[in-house]
Amino acid sequence: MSFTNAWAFALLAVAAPVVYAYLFRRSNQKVAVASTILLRVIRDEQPAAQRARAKVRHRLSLVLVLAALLMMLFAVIGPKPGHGGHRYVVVLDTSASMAAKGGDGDRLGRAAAAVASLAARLGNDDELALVVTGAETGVRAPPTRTHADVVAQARALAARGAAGTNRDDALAFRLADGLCRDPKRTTVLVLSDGAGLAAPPTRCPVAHVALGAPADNVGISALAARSVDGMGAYDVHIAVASTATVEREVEVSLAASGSVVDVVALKVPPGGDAEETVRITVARGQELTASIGSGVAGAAKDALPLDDQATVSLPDDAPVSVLLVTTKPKSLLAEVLRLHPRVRLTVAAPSALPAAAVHLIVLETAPTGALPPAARVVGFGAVPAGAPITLGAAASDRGVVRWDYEAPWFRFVDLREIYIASARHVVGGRSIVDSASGALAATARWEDRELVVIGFGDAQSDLTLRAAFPNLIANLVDWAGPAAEAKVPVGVLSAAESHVDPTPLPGVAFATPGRWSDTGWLLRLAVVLAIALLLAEQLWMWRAARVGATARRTV
Amino acid sequence: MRIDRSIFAGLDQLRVAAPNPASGGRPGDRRSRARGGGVELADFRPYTPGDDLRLVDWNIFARLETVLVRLFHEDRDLSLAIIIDGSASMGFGTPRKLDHAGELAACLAFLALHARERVRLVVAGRRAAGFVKGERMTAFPTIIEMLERIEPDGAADLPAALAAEADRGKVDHVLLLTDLLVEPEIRENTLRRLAATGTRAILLHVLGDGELNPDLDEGAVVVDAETGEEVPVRGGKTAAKAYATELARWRAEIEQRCAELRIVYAPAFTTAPARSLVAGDLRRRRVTEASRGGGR
Repeated sequence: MSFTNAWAFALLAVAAPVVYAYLFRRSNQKVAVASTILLRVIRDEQPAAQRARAKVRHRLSLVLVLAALLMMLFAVIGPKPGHGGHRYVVVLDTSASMAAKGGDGDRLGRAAAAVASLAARLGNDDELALVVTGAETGVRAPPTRTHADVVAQARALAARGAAGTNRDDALAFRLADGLCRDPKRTTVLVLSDGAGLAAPPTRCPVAHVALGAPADNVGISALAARSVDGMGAYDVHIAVASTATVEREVEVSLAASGSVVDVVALKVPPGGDAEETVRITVARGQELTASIGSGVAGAAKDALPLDDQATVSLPDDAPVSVLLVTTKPKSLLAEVLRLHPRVRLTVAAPSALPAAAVHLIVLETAPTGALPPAARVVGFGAVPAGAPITLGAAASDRGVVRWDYEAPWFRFVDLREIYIASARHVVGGRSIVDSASGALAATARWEDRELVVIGFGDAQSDLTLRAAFPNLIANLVDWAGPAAEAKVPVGVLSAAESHVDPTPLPGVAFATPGRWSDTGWLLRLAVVLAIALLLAEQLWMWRAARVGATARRTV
Repeated sequence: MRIDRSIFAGLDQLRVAAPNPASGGRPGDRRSRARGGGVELADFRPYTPGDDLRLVDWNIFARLETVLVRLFHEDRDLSLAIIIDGSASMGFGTPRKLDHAGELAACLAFLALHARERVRLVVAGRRAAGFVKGERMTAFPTIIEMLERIEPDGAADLPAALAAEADRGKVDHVLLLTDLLVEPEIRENTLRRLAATGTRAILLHVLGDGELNPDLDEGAVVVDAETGEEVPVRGGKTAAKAYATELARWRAEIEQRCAELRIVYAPAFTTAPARSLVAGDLRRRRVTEASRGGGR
């Protein structure tokens, strides 16, 4: 037991005036008498002063009241198991799956209630700490005997809501293990549904309080968008996962700036995923939101609303500055580049190159001077001096047998059966287009630039007559353009978080709040005893007053 | 209250003592100051023409050759006024002081009515005021009925009651049954009125266990039943001792004043039954006497 409890001191302080009142209590009892004439001689001139009553009934009454105070003191401060205190480190899972609803509230709310239940059973010497994992990982409350603070933290987290994943769960367990003072007196208690959580080995024993029940959830598991042509066309990839036991028909609305641009219908197999890629046209730089429609056919109550909506930022097509080095008065490359909405084209002669930096330098003619700063350089049958790629001998076999079709420049570019009238092999770098006799295009790193050299010019093949040509140019512009800030789509949960079936942590002991020592019955008994003692005292005094009133009629 | 009729048994051996000559206007059994027909020689006076010759004392004439007529004491009846204090203070005690006073009054009324003496009974109180008179035993049931009916209430104006009684005519004996728990000035006024109301004034001081032996173990706030005054009082042995001293002083003061005003003071505490008081202590104080062979 500990008397450091403030209420204990308050109750002890109450005992002092109680004793004083009994010893020096002024009797406020009014007694009717025949006359006060004779009694005036014994008037009490100091009403506050009292003489201690010698009668047994008052001593007994004092004993009863003090005993009641003692019982209340007992109820406030103890008893608790006298083992010197135990430390409980609670690892609270706040990841997205803890937002799954079921019964009375969500799993995170029930976890906060479990923290409160644990705190209510702890003794004054026991310590409680809180480590969170999920959207944020860290020690939320260091070990403390002020259990109410920890409970308040847990409730605040529950009010904020679950979010994020458990990718940093190992860190959380390391932090919890770091708070392990003595393995015999420390317990790590994991409050989680187990989804996406793994418990590594720790020094201190770990117990898991499983929260949540299996539930049906349909949610967006993937959302991505990429620009097709830099003019507002985007390919949107969307995937929907389901933990339902029956097939679900889902409609996913795609909206930009509040306007629905497309609705994708998907049939999601039970316990599986469905995906689709659609092309949409919207203004550049907006945010695309995908929402699962509320009228899902055959749907039961969705357990996790967090993954029913996702948002992704459409790539922002910033302007690309391009320098075309050519001597042709009418260059096809120049015309194509001018048509591209993102390109800010500068055409220069090989000997009169501007000094301003650009994003992309396109060489149609080999430059004679130093190139201005540019991150990327493409040569169509031309190579700058000093480059690691050079033009070699004329290609004897100019049929394209292989090209690096996964390379960013060759997206939607088909080089099969392209007719190349004349070409020269490229030497150096990594080959990206090959003929039977050698490389027809290559790429290499040139100082702080990336260099792509194609062994033939625009007029030496029918590439310019094919649809591949504008795609090639658009790809080169996208490749050279400023990298858009990679934005993680919001609302897309990992499979572990969206598949909300609770799983027990492997290798971790299963715990229930009932395991903790419950001394509540003893405290309740102490309170009942205190009330009984006070009632007994009042009954005793009432009976004594009645007997006294009968025995004496008057003063 | 209910007066036990058995207390009157044997009281016919007693009568109200009358040390002073009776002043009643009707013949009775009490010696009076009047000279006239009677059996006891009182005096002689010279013969006056017209006197009854049978009253001439011929022996004196033979010896002294003087004609003198005999004068006899004339017995008159006794009148008695009994005044009972019916104030709220008389409702305290075990037994109640008012009940004890009622029994005393009933006993004294019995004595008087049994001797065919006139009795007036007055109850002074706010609600308990009452008056009844009689001169034969036939009036006794009425007196008993009134005594059994009275209840203490409020404050009794004893001086006014005594004054009213005096207005009804002087009586031989006036008995006041009261606890006299009033302010000193009212007490003085009451005693003066009592002394002036009858030839012989008697104060039967009725006190109960509440005044004689109060429970002073603990302090309390006492409330006067008549005035409502609240007085916080101490408890304990010291307080009990101080109270006893005050009680003795107060009683001595009353007794002395009664002596000064020639009022017969007789304690009539509730600790002794009314019958034994009438036959014992009141007899010793010459409030009552034996009806045969008693002193005149």
